This record gives sequence, C-alpha cells and structure tokens, in this order.
Amino acid sequence: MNALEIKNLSKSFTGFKLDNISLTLPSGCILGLVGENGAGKSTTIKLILDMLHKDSGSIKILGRDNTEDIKSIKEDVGVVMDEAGIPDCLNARQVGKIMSGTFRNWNNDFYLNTLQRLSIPDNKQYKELSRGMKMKLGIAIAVSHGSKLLLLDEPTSGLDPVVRDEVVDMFNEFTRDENRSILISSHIVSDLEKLCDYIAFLHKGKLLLCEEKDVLLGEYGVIHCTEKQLSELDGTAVLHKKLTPYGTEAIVRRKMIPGSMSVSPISIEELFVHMVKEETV
Amino acid sequence: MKGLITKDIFMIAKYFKLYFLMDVIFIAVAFFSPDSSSFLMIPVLLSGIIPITLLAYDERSHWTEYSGALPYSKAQIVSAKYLIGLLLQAVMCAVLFTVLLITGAHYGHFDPTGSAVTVLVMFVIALLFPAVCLPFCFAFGTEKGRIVYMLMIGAVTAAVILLNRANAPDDIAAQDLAVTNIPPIFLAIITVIYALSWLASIAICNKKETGKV
Repeated sequence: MNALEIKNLSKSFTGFKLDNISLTLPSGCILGLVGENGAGKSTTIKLILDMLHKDSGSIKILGRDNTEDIKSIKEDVGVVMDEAGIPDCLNARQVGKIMSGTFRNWNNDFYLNTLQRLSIPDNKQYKELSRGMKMKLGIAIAVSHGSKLLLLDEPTSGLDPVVRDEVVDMFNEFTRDENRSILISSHIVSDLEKLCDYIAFLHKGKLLLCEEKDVLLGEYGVIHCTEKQLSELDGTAVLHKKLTPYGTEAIVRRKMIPGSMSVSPISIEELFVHMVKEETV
Repeated sequence: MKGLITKDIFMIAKYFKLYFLMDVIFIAVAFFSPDSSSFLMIPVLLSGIIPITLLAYDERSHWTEYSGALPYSKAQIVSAKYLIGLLLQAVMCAVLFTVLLITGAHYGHFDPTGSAVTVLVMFVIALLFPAVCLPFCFAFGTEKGRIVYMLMIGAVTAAVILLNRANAPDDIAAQDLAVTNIPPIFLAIITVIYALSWLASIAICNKKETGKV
C-alpha cells in the first residue's frame, strides 16, 4: 500500500498557484520535498491534511481519501510544522497530558522515554526551550501515537549540525518499520540527500520531478572538461554547464557520455539548483 | 475534545492569575460593602473575556494552525472555547451566589431568591460577551474581536445607566412579577443567543482554511 498518493493536485491563491502536482510515497519510504522558500512545500502539506481546501485533484493517505473522515486519518499521522504550535507557557509533561486527551493511541510512557532520550527537559516552559529542543519536542509528539506517516515541514531548518544529525537519525529509526513512512519538506537539500529514498523537486508551485534518489544519482553526473570537449558531446547529454577558472563543469546524463571521460557523482543539491535555474545548454 | 479543554485549563492556570487576584479583591470589597452586587459584577465581566484571550494566545503560539493537524474537527475546536466560557461563568456565578448569601446574612438582608436572580442576571450578561465576540474572533481574528468586546462594554454600561434612570414600578406586586418572570426569559434568550453564536462560529471555521499562506 502507498502511504500517500497525490494526483493532479492544484490550489490557487492570489499570486501563487500549486499546479497539477502528482506524487506517490510507498509505505516504508522517505520522500523529500525539495524547494526554495515559497515553492509550495507547506501548501502541499496543508492540503494533504485538508487544512487548506484543494481546487482539484485527489489525495489518499494510507489508502483513504483525505476528505473522508480526515479526523480519523489524522490519528495515524504525525505532523511537525515549521512553527511548532505549542503554547509558550506549557511544559513537555503538560503537553503529554494534552496529547493523551487528543490521540486514541497516545503512548505516554514512550513519549516520556523519548523526552529523556532526547534530553528534553519535561518541566521547562516551551518558550524557554531552544529552537532545536522545540523541534525535538514536536518530533517526540509526532512519533508517540503510533503514527504510520510523518509529515514534516522544514523540521531541520534553524537547527545546528549536531541536532540536525540527531533528528535525521530519529527519522531513520522511525522508518525501520516498513509500515511507516515520512514526507519531509526542506530547502536544506543535504539533509534530504542523507535521509530520503525518493526526491521531489518543487519550484514555483510546479513539480519538476519525483524520482528515486538512487535513480537520480545514477542517471546524472558531473564532468570537468574543456569547452571544445563539451561541444563534441551530443547536445541532449548536457543539462547544464558552468565556466570555471579551471575549465568547464557540466551536469550530464551518464549514459550518453563516452567511457573515456571521467564522470563524477552529482549531489542532489547540484541537480536541484540546475533544474531551478532553468539554464540548459 | 478532552485534550483541548485540558490545554485551556493549563493556560488559564498560568496566564490568568492576575484576573483571579482581581476577582478575590473585588469579592473582598463586596464582602465589606452592604450593597455588594455592583462590585461582584466586575469579576463576572472580566471572566467573560477569558475565552477570547485564550483564542488570542492560540493565535500567537500558532496553536490554531497546529490544532488543524491534530485529530480534531473544527466543531470540536470551536466548542472547546464555548464550553470553557460556560464552565468559567458557572464556577464564577456559584462563587458569587455564595458570597451574596454570606454578605446578605451578615448585613441582615438574607435573600436566597433575590441573590439567585442577581447572579442569574450577571450570568446572562457575562455570557453575552463571548456569545457576541467569539464569531467575530473566529472570522477576523482576536484583534478585531477585541474591538467588538470594547463596543459591548460600552453598550452594556449604557444599558445599565439607562435602566437605573428608568423608574421602577411603584406597585410591589408588579415588582415581584418582574423579579419572578424576567430572569427565566433572560436565561432562555441567552441560551438561544449562545447556541446560535456557537453554530455560527462552527460554520465560519468550517468555511475558513487553516494556516492560509
């Protein structure tokens, strides 16, 4: 079963349109939604949760249409928002009590253990926690009610590298169970590259691609050569080129490059920047 | 909905200590005053704004958006605020009724029926505030909802002044009839207004999108 199926999803606001998005997240996988600020990542997540009403298209969460009994679907979905949304005056222990009255499957022992494991003080007010602590608290809530799907909106933004690494480990741990999946949005592409099985590029409300990460990394590469060597290649083999003081650097389709040329691995970030710039040869 | 009510109770305990201190002061002043009802009106009016202030805190902390991601219907999110408003007024009026009885006994005008009528009128007036303001708050945000609250304070004050200036009927029987009949009518009216306000707020929130960019 797919954890998430989005087909032809569209939503218009004044000055912005999320345009005909289709993507699928298989169970047990992590899908990274990459996009610059304002690309439509948060809008997509809010549409999935039916917080915003779609103009057209369909969304299925864990096999169920998101407009049919979304309240019951949300029992199985853990959400971490960019702005975590916990009232400032509450401490983690009180939040646990609130959530035990919110989720049918709330596991308070697991929650308290997670707090301890992540070194989140349970008696400090939310406003006194650091950005990293707040985000970890949001994640602790999201994983403590038997969620089968996590929807994470920029969970690593504003975190220092150590906390980011810790958070990424938590997500990896979560998906060890093959019935659990994650949709994570971020503009920090390096985090997603470490974590994700699938990558979707979103730019100005349009989905540029949605593909398995390994397929993407296998399909594309980077070559360093002279301008003359580049001109000898098939035009469709080169997606993007950049002149550097040391010659020409180009993003290419690996299969179309002669074996005599050395092709270096490409990062998802390089590929994303290329696609966004829309600057093809 | 238990989680929503629990959250509001935690927030009331944390944010409204000053309100309760003021309540205690006004109740204490009323206790030492022969005509205590005017002092007791203030705590009731103050508690009328608590559901609106709670909603303002929810907006500020982005809880409004986060609750949209939790397994709550919009009707439950709205209902929690109306229920909290009702519970607060019920508790406040129970306390005031007790204070009125004690002060009445102390000053030699012990009158359970009169005290009940006074508290009932306070209850009705206090519920009028969230009933009128909450739909505006849900529709336009609490900043604009507060303007409606201020306008209501002005309207209620003007109404009280006008009623005080109006001559009471000389006929004792007519006064007794008014005391017996008017409170149940008021109660019926406020019940209808509160219920309509609740339904209107649910309709507003169902139509409204959460966390619109």
